[in-house]
Amino acid sequence: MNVTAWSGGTRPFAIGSKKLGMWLFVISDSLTFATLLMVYTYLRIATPTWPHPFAFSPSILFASLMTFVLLSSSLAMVTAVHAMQQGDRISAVRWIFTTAACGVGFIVLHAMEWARLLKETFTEPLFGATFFTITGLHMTHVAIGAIYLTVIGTGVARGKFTAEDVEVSGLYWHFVDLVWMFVFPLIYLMSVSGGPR
Amino acid sequence: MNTNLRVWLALLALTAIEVALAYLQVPQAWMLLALVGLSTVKALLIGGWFMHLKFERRSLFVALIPTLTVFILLLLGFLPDATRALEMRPQ
Repeated sequence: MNVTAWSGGTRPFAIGSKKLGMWLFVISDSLTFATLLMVYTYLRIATPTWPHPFAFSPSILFASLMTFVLLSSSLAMVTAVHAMQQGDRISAVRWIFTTAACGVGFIVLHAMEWARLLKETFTEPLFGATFFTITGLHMTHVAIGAIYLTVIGTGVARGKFTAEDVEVSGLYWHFVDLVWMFVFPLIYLMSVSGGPR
Repeated sequence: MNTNLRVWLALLALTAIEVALAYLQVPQAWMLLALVGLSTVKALLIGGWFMHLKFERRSLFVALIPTLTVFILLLLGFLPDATRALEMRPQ
């Protein structure tokens, strides 16, 4: 009998259902962030009085440091997934917690940036509305990611979870990192003080 | 050198270029194009290597990425209107 991928009982994408589920979540969440960033960019271009509150120091330095922390956390996560695939649970746990710690570091840096901006008065209220919505939603994702990784790391340390579970949590974490790669230039770098108007 | 380490270094280098670009006195549209272009390269590096999409079966890529790309391209269709909205404001 000629069995095709559509006959059932096979995996057309050659990945497990957990991983496919996470990929579908990542794509749907990408649509949310893409829409929000498009709204922000539209308003940014259509509003001549758009504020430029991001001075090199502290805002751009802080945001660059946050980018460095997130990118480094992704490297740590890749290393954790690789270690788990090699069966090295101790190393995997170490790298998973390093990733989660980077996430917490990112949140602390971002909270400091928020505290500074909350004291400012902006000429354009839409700036505050969009800035805090997008960065707030992203920060929520980072916080959920840090909790998710802590649960996975603790489980792996206790002998639970498979390499696929770690890889799936890694997919989520890299996605959070990927979103920031668009938030940082579109929100911060497009509105640096002293940059082009 | 480990491939993942190279990808990480490339991502850091691209970020540094983006920060430097932000201080160039170029028209807003060019700045937007350059920053989005560089960010797309960074997204491809993260998706391809860190998220392992480059090493998955092609059917996964075909099922996921064109959908997202078309959606974003449709959104981009609104963007030229942002400059028109500026001209339409009452003086």
